[in-house]
Amino acid sequence: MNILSRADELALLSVWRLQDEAYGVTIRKHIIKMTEADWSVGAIYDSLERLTEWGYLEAFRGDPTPERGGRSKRYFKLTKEGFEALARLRKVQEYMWLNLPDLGFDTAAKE
Amino acid sequence: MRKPPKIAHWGLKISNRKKNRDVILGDFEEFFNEIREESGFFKAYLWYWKQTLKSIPRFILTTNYWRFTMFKNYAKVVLRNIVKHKVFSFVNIMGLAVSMSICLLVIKLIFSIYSIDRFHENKERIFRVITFYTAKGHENRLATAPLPLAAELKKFPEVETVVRIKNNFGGYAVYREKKFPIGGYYADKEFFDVFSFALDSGDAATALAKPYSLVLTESAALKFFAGKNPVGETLSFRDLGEFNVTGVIKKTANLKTHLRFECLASASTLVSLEKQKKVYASLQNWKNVNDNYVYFLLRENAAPYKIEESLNRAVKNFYSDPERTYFFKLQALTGISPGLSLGNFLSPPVPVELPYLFSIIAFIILLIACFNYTNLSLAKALSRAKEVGIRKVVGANRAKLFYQFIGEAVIISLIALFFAFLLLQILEPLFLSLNKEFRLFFNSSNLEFGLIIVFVCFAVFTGVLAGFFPALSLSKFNPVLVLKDVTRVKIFSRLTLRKVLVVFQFFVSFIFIISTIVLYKQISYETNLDQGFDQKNILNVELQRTDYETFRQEIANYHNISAVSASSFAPALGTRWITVAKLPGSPDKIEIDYLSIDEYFIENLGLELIAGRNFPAGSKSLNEKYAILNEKAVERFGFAASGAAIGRVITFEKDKNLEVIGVVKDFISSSSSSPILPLVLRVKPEDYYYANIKIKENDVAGTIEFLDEKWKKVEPIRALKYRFFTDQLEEFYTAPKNALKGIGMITLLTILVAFFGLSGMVIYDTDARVKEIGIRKVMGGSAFNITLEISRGFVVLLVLAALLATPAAWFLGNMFLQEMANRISLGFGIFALGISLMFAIGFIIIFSQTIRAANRNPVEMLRYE
Repeated sequence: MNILSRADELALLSVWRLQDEAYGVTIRKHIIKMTEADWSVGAIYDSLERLTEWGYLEAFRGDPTPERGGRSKRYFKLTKEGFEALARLRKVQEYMWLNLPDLGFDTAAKE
Repeated sequence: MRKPPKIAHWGLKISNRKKNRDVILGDFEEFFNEIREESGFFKAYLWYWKQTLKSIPRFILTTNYWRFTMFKNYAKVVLRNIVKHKVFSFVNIMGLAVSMSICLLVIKLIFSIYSIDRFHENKERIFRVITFYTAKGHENRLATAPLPLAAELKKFPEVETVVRIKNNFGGYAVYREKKFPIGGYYADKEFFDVFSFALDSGDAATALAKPYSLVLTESAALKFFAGKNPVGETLSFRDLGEFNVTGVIKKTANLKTHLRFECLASASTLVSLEKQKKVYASLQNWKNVNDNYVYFLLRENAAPYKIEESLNRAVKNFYSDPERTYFFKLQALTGISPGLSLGNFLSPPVPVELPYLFSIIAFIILLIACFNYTNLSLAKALSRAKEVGIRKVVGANRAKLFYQFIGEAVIISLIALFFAFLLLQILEPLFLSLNKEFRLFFNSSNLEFGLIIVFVCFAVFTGVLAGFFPALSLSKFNPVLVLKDVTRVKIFSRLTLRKVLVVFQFFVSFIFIISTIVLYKQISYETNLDQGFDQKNILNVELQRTDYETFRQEIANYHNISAVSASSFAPALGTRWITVAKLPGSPDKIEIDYLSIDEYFIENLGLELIAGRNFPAGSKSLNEKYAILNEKAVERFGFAASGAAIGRVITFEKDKNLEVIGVVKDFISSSSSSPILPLVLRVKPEDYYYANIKIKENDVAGTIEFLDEKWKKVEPIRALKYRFFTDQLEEFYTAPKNALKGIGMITLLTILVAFFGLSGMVIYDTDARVKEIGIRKVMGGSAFNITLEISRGFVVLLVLAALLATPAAWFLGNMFLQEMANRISLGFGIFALGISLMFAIGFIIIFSQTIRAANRNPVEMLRYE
């Protein structure tokens, strides 16, 4: 079974969060906002490409806009396989966190 | 609207696949515009660059992910194969390395050859006038030209600058207590306009303007003025006068030129030297084509060959003798070396054929090594069959597999290049020791960047050449067949190819080995040939235009000198002097060689008089009266017998009637590789060039010291120049002997490569047949019979190669020997020797492997069945 990398996970979740507005620029902005770290365009694109190739994401072209120099956007949408992959990941994470000896910080506060 | 940075934009563009290129560029531009609106253009600009640099590696990785992965896999497979098949790799890499080292040497040599005189800025526009001088129907092609031609050339509008050069400047130069011989040319001040020699000190424009000016090369300047600036100092030449040093030529690494000089004297000096009769008249002499050269710089875009025609027309009037015609041609500077062989050269040009000859030999040797690779790859094709099958099933197409196998060959040849380069370090000095000329222009020290590129390209080429056939046939395997039952894959067609290649390798090796033997035998035959005279203990002293008679009187009575004679040249050193003769009453003019001697020569060199008598004593002081012929000359003039020639009169030149008073037995007068020619011995004291002094063996040093002392008395200016006749003869043969060494070296390497291949093949074949051998043993086959059985195939190939090579080598050998007058016969012995040599080595390789295989324990061989 393929366990997603953190970058992949972030990308998938961002696509789901952004729904109809998920394309390169917004995804990167969202991830940067969430992680409070600078992500290069290439790094995001790398994940998105890989996920599309694996079939977790579906890509389709939007209309060209002037602020993009007349180039079209590439929107992403989560596929069924993408959902499943996220579900598996979630499960793995929950198992991993379950019944841990106390780490000394409150995990619930963030959720 | 201000745009994102162009270069970064372009970088992004090329690092992405076409499919998503516009999307990514769009994303970037959107970010860019947003940041520009928020924080201004400058920040956005920086951001764009930063992001581009950060992203490009990711993009490249993403777009080429599979290519990288597959490349990694290919590289891994190659390395594993190299390690797994150690014998195969060793044989291939070493074979390739040996032959590649020869090729590298040749490449380097060709690079060096084609860099002669290429440093001149105007090299494309520099020409030299050369002379085709025809006298009495015989054409001489000379690098020289009469000096007054320069003035005629200057009249042409297409000619920018003309420079006259005269050779043979020099002698002993004295500066204070320092005295060294230096030599060079006389040259006009335009020398530095035409040629790109830079001056370290002094002014190039005026350095050669005034009479008695002298420009030194750096090495010559160092000899006299170590460390000091020589400009303004005076060097005195005893024969010529005082010269004022006006410049020093800078020494640079790539100063390879056909102009070889230590110093240049101003040509304007010649005016006064000619007046004092210290040099032979040449400035206004249209007939002097001995040591003068005319170079000129053509104007840009002018056609040189138009000048040629009008030049010849313009100078026609200066020549009246219809017997001697002069035709002038233009030779481009870049065509001088490598170029035509011309008489009176400034330095011997590299023959035009040489680069081609070397390339052909190198290519043949390379081919042999490539065949090793091809052969062995095909031999172990089956071990790769499964891999090919799997790759095809998984999705590789034939082209991909083809490239994979070519790539493998290229990697092997690149590894071989490394070893070849190491070998080159040994080979190069060996090769350079063969020929003095090579050393002068060979680029041994600095390895230019361009050369390295050429080496690598060459290795890639070799890899492709070697890997082509295996790649073609390995990529052809049908996956279904291969994966189902490997043993049923047909490889018969490849077996034939392998055999052809092996036969070719041995064919070439045979030819090389037989050529070496032929050359060796011919050279030792020539050097041991009875020359018909006795050269032992003879010292040839150059007379250098001093009076022979005076010198002779000084030394003839010394107790350690047994005889002294004079001659116009020393026989058997390749020299010929030719004149015309005719019998009175006959219209036929006969061209005949002659040697001018005195009355002591015949006895001194032990020539045998077979009829008549020697020149009477005192012939020298008489006006020439007598001649002595050799046997060939007797025949040539049509006299019935030696005795019949005595007393006959022959007219030499125009009107010199000489009476034949004797006939000597034939001896070699010009060279032992040409037939003995008709020769006339005469007494012409003005022709004497050498004093032949026979000395006693005791106290040679003392005798030479005595000679030197007496020489100084007779000739105070020029130093004594002497050589032992035996040394001179020896030296005359160094060129062919060195050629022999070179060919021997190449033969050795070729055989080495071929036998690398053979041993590899035998090892593979016996390994492949290991089960067969095991079964044969179990069934009762003796080791002896099995050895014969598996060796048979290889022995047949060797014999076939020998059968094919013998007529070819015979043909080549005959072609070579045809040129030689005194030649060995191309007998059975030579071929027998060559073939048995090859067979001996071949059999050792074959049988050592097959016997080993035949003696193995069948239990071991069949354990897994």
